[in-house]
Amino acid sequence: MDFGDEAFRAVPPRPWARKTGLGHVLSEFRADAGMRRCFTLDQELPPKPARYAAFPSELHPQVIGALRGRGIAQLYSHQAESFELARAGRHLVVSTPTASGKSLCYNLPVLDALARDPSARALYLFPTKALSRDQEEALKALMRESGLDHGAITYDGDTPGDARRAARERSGVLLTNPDMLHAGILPHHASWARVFASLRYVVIDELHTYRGVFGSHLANVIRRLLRVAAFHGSKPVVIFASATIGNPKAHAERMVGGEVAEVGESGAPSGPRTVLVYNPPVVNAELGIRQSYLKAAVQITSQLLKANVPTLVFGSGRNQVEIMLKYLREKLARDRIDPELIQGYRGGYLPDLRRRIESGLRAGDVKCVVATNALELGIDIGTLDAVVCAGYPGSIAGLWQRFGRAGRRQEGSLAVLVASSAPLDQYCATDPSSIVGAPVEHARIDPDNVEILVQHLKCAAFELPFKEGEPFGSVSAEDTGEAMEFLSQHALVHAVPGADGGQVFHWAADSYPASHVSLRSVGWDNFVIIDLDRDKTLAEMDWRSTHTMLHEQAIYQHEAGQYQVERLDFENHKAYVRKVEPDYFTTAMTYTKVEVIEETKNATLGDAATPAVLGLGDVTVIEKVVGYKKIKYHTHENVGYGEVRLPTMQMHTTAFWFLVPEAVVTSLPYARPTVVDALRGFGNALHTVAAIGLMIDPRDLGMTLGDRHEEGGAPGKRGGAPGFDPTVFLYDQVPAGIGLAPRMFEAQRELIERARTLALGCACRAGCPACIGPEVGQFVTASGELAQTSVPVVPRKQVITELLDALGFRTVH
Amino acid sequence: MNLRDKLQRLQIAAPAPDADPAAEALARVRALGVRDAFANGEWERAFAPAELAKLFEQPKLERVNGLRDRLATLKMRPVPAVGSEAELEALKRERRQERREPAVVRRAFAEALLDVHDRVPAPPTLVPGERIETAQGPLYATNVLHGADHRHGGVEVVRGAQVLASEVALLALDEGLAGIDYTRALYIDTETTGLVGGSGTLPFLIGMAWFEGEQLMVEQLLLPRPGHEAPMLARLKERLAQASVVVSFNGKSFDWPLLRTRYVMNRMSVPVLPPHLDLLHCSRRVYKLRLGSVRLIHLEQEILNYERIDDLPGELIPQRYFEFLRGNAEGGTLIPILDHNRSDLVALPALLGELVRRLEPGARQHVCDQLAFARVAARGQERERAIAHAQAAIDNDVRNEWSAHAHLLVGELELRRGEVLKAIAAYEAAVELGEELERARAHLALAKLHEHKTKRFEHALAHAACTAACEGAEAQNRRVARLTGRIERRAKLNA
Repeated sequence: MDFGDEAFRAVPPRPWARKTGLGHVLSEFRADAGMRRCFTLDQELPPKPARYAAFPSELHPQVIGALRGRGIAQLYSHQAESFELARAGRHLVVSTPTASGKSLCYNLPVLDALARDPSARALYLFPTKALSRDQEEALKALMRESGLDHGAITYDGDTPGDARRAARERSGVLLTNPDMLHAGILPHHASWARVFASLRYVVIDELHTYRGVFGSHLANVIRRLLRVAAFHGSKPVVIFASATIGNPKAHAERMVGGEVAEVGESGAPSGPRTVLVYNPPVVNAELGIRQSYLKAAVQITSQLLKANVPTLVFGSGRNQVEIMLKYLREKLARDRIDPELIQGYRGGYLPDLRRRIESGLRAGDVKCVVATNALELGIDIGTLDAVVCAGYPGSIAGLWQRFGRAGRRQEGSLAVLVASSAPLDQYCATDPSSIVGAPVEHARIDPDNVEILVQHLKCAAFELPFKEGEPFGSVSAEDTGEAMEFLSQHALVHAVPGADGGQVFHWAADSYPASHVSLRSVGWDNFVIIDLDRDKTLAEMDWRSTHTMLHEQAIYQHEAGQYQVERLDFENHKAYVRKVEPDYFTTAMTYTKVEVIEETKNATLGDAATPAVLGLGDVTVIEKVVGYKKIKYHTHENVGYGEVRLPTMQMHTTAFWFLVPEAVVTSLPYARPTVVDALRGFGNALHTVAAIGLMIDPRDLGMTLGDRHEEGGAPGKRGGAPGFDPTVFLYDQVPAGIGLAPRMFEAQRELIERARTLALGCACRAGCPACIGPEVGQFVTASGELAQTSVPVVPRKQVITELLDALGFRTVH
Repeated sequence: MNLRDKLQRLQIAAPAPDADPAAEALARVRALGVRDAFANGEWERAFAPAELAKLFEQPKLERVNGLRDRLATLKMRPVPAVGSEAELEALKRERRQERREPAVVRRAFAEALLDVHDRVPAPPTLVPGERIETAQGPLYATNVLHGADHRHGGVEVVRGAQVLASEVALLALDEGLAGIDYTRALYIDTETTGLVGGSGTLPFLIGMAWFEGEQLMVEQLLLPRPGHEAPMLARLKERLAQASVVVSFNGKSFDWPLLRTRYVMNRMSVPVLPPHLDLLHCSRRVYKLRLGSVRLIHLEQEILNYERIDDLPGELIPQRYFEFLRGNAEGGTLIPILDHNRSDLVALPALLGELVRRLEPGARQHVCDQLAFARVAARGQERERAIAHAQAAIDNDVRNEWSAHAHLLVGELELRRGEVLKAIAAYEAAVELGEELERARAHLALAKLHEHKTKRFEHALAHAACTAACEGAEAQNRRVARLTGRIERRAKLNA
């Protein structure tokens, strides 16, 4: 197979270079009986021919000239379609696969508008700073080639002062992120009058990342944006671009509060693609332990690299990425392959290093990248011949975003999922129909969540006074008016009769509301990791991960090297590390528990003598890293423990809980842990139906099983001990809560009924990821291996049925 | 409830009415009728500002308004030419005790019929100021004329109109401020609903001041309700059009951006701003060295000899305005805000005049300030003046705290005008008097001077031995090595 890759051919011949190419590797895989047995799916997806469209007649000649200059003689059909829709003034969402030329879909109408009107402006939103910078470069090049001197500037926290002024006054395209738009631009919109007065397009890329609470916030920011634009006299067209999700059109429509046209059919060609699912062999039948999926992924990848196939490897976390990187480099060093050809890529690497790796990939100096989902987003690295996904990323949409990185326009490509021992992975491995042709997850948002809405109404009132009878996006005038009355009662706005007799609500408080609203529940603030030997910043890490990855004595893995954390300066957000060469890495052990601060409501449900108790209240969710394990490289044996003394992570929020009295537990003919485990399974079902019902991302809702009356001490697992009323807690995963728990409490009957339908109606035998979660008795160790508890396997659904019966749920309708 | 009833209720609440002058005044107004009292000016005659304020204040906030007007402006003798710090302190105290008549305050209240709230009918509100009908709607303006002899602390306010433009340009290090007629300056200061900026922060009081001959007119425009900004913004625009320069304290980064935003929010064209002199920047360059923080209130104490009495702290201002808006407080409660703002405004020409006066090297002042002025003059390329200031600092520096710094500056300036010997003398003095870092800097300068100017390499080498604290060990080693080499080469040549 010919790669048509000059840089690649320039590599001097190597001993292994004789048999190369994807076809060769595939036949090798298939010829190996041991491997073949492990492939639970081997399917070829047919190639797709290109569908082209001529340059639209309305596209400005300067832009056409730039495209021709790049050797582009015609457009793909979806690019032309997007352009026509945008020119017609319609909001649209482009949801074609990765690397189908999506950015041209929004860049063309923008460039066209700039070419026709020197004062035209466009606003681009990206979820991360890195993406904005990427796109700024690409867009500037395209603008230059089109002979446009409007300029494009990334406006974020790192933008220097004079560039900020240029962004306000001159720049044709402003690239920023939702957080900056929310807190830095909209509240100061008068200073951005030039931008808002001629705002023609708003481009929102990576739409699929805006779901759940974050997405609900963004929808409100868009309402504010359109309101401010209207004040300055513009009505921009919104263009969304999204990776594969189940409901791009509906999602975009909720986001913008109006009709959105969908461009879903890609005109870009794709070569044939082979999809494999590899379930590592069982190495200990007694314990049901399988070979490490990391090692299996490394094995498959090294075969691909030896055959000269550029490969992208995805791991599920930072540690996994670093371990695979280390193994791969070691393994291929034996075949005299330069370790520099294999690179890691994950959040935390400094921007500079990431840029180098990206350009290395594009240029062919890098043959293999081991990455986290940091590479899922639209970082421009082109596509590769093969993608190996070590572990199921948790969603079909996520899996296809990763698989989408493999796929050349003409030649064949390969996508491999290596299943870990996690129940979800095993489920996918045993039923591969859940991967190819399965429905893709929906992105859900609830922009009218009262808590979120009121926060943004405050910001909006700060930005512009509300007139009586004025709606807020899709929020009716009546509802908006009521919210204003509410804010007025709380002395935040002041009503004054306006010129036309109606009331006008003016912001009347000495505060800046946007600074009290964070769009993301996870903070942006980072820890820096300092290499003591070189006295230089090695990397950075988000605050949350710090607890598990940068505690003292942890082994921090970076670019396949190991560093031990010597000191963690929590206050100043610094971790000091020193290079070491241990034969182990560390994983932290964390526990989560919920403490009830105040019960605001409770109810019983069921007509048994001892019914279930449902509660609502304020809680503290306490997460604590209690220690760490040392895991030996290669064998993955546990070779020691250590203690960790770190402040607990505490979050005050609201929770809804479901308590089963101990008497009910003991009345069943099963061991206590069995019943508790079944309840945990029912909790999973509750979590699933709640996330769907509340239109949130499952990650916005926390679930844990504990005891309502447990107080003090370190959180721990006490599932088996007597004197314990097992309780499922479902809590808002946002500090102070955003009203999810009260809604669950209100809808308790329906929620439990739905969970029951889901748990018992699912076609699986004893539980699957879609209903009550992993089968009883199995759990996954910190390193991702599957282990077995001593609990005997009993049909969990049976236990759940009996438990619900004992609580008297039969009468619930 | 109408105003009459309200006033009545207030009177009932007042203790011992027969002994209360405010109650007597009130009785006079009641006899006339409130509207008539307004119409024929009886209101003003009946109410001294003190009683009026008392009337509107909450009972517990007992404070006699108007007293501050008298205290605010102290009669002062000219600034003495000499005096120890103790003498100066005594003088300050003495001055604070002197009082003089206040400026002509034409305090008026206008009835603002603004709260036509269809759900909660509210009575008309009184707001301080005269109601002026304009094309854009009613304007509530308070005008106070300050006489030619008006002082703010120890400084005659009129000096702000007498400054030389070239001196101001040097003070501000801004060539654009030369050649401006400072008698036509417009002084601006706003009171706002918050310090955060953005489109939701309202400047609800726009204070302006300008000279009419030698008298200073202060005009304050009060926003009676949000949404009624157009008249005041239009008035500000007119005033700006007549002004040759805008003078403010922190107006460049606070007041003006906020005002600019208001024009955009009210769909009015943004006025073209004349040159802008921000006294915060000028003062900071001079007084940061000594005072650290350079707030107007500190400058008043330190250089204008002005002590604010009963001043409303700035952080309470937004809340007080909101209370008024919500009908929880009468318009009279805004008077302290107007007074605060007027005091700030009057301080500006005094501050400008005083800063320009002190820019003269002959002016007696703190050694540290003198040094700072020397630096300003040096940055403004006025070497003679800079040297004179630095020399004055050295001469007055009894405790030798700042002399080394001043010598260093003199050395630098002398060197720049080619006076090598004078420069060497200055640096040597700095070596003599300085702390470690200044000594090192002086040694470094001397090492360079002797290497490049006098070619006395041995001297240079001796000085180079002490430069590490300033240039670092590495650079020092290179310097020493180079000098040693030059000495050796010269020795060979001579041999």
